[in-house]
Amino acid sequence: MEHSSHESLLKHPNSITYESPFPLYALAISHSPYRVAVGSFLETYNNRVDILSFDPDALTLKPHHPPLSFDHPYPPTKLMFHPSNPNLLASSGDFLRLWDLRDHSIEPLSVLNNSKSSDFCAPLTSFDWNEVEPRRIGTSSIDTTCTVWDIDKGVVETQLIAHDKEVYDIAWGEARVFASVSADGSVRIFDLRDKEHSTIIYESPQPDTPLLRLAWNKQDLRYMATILMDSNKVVILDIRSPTMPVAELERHAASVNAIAWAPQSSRHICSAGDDTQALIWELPTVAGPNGIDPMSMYSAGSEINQLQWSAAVPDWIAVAFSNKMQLLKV
Amino acid sequence: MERSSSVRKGAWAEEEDILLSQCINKYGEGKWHHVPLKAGLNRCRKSCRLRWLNYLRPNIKRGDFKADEVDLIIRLHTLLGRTANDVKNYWNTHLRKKVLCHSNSVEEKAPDVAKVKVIKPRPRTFSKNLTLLSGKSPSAESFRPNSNTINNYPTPTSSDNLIAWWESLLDDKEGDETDACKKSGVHEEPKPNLWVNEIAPEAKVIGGFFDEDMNIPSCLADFSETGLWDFLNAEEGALI
Repeated sequence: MEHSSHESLLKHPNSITYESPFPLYALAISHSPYRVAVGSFLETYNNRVDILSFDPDALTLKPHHPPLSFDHPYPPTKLMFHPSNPNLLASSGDFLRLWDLRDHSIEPLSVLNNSKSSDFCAPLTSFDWNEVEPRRIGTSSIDTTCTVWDIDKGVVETQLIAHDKEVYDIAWGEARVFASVSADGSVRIFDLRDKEHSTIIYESPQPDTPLLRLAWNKQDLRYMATILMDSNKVVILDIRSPTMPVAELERHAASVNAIAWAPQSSRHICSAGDDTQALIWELPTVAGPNGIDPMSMYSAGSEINQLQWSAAVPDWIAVAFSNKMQLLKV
Repeated sequence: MERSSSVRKGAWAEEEDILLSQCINKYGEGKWHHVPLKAGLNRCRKSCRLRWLNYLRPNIKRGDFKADEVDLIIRLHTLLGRTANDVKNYWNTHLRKKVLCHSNSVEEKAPDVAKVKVIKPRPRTFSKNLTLLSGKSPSAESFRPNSNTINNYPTPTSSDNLIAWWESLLDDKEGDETDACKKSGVHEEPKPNLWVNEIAPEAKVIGGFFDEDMNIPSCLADFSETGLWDFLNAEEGALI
């Protein structure tokens, strides 16, 4: 596999790069006017989120004018825009915070803090905004719980002790169904109508191998993807067939860091990792004897830490590596 | 400024505290060299400042150190290995202003924390051989309860429960808070693995995934030749 020359890609009309003064991690893209929120990853208290403007016709990606940004304590672990409102942004880190993007500034709207003491909170590893019920945001935390917030009222709807160890990711499947992954190595599904039970649909083969990320296929809710810590495999699950993966995509040369289903096609998924590759896979109806090969591949300049494939701009895949953010046209 | 009598030393009397507090509330912090005069106190300016900062200031946290605070102190002390004095100085010079700004906004905006009942769902698992994809008869659905007891119930067909579970999961009705799934009993019926991926000598068509009615939108039906992505040749045997 050859590495494309990085410099030539910077000028390529089908990839657009933004270079930040600091390492980037969290990424989010809104619907028109296509704002891109990028979060810094500095191992210190002072971090920030900057808003960029993406023009898919002029193919430009540059800081919003007038400048929109806000300080954030510790690196944001995730950023996400409201499913339909490009002016509303949520961030997770020490707390779940909501931000209002106005013409000239960003105003903090609320800090959703569920902890009993105002001084200490358990950091949030991730969250997901429910597309069917946008007043619901689910958060995952290192304290083994998942919390469902009603952000209109600013109150907790439900808090569940979801796992035996830290919860690393959460994804909504339906208005009242979500799934989460944990350091305890399990993928569990929760139904808000039946809070007394959860369903384990997969556990890592080596006990207690953490599962780091979870992606629920929004085009076909039967399918989910997950990745194990320090593993080069993408595990594809069918919830109709619990415990056994329907596929394991094993073509990365190093650990996979991020996964994203295609927003407009149920059969495609993208993965990216420490081998600096982003791979797009087309999942077949039948798998061959040698496993599944990726359909296409992109080489970034360094390890890819983040991947977003937004329904707002389905023709573009966003990646973050080092201090750069790139939009790649598919 | 020279005084005829020497300044008071030792413990602060309550009247002195009151005078000092009133003075700070009236004139604000700062200009400590004026404070003894304005407050009418026979104390040195450094003493006034320290008394205010360490004792009289309203937002000082009081009470015994709680167990988790002590734990944090021990852990950080071990981790940092810095002297307490150095930590204090670092805080005051670099961090105080930035962190205080943030914590103030947190206090203003955080909603009242109502008591939230935290629920611990009991996880249930399915045996490795239970799948709907094959249409074969089911084996077990088992609970993994928190305690070590296993519920034994008379058994409705387990595959019905599996079907019921995932169908109810994905239907659109907003139900009320009743059990979406029924419990079932536990019994094992070992079956060979029905779906193999890479290891099988020949591909098995089990009604694998992504069957029939999948429409690939035309925009993805062929990924455009951007030159950006290396297209990997699909081998005939590997992909359909």
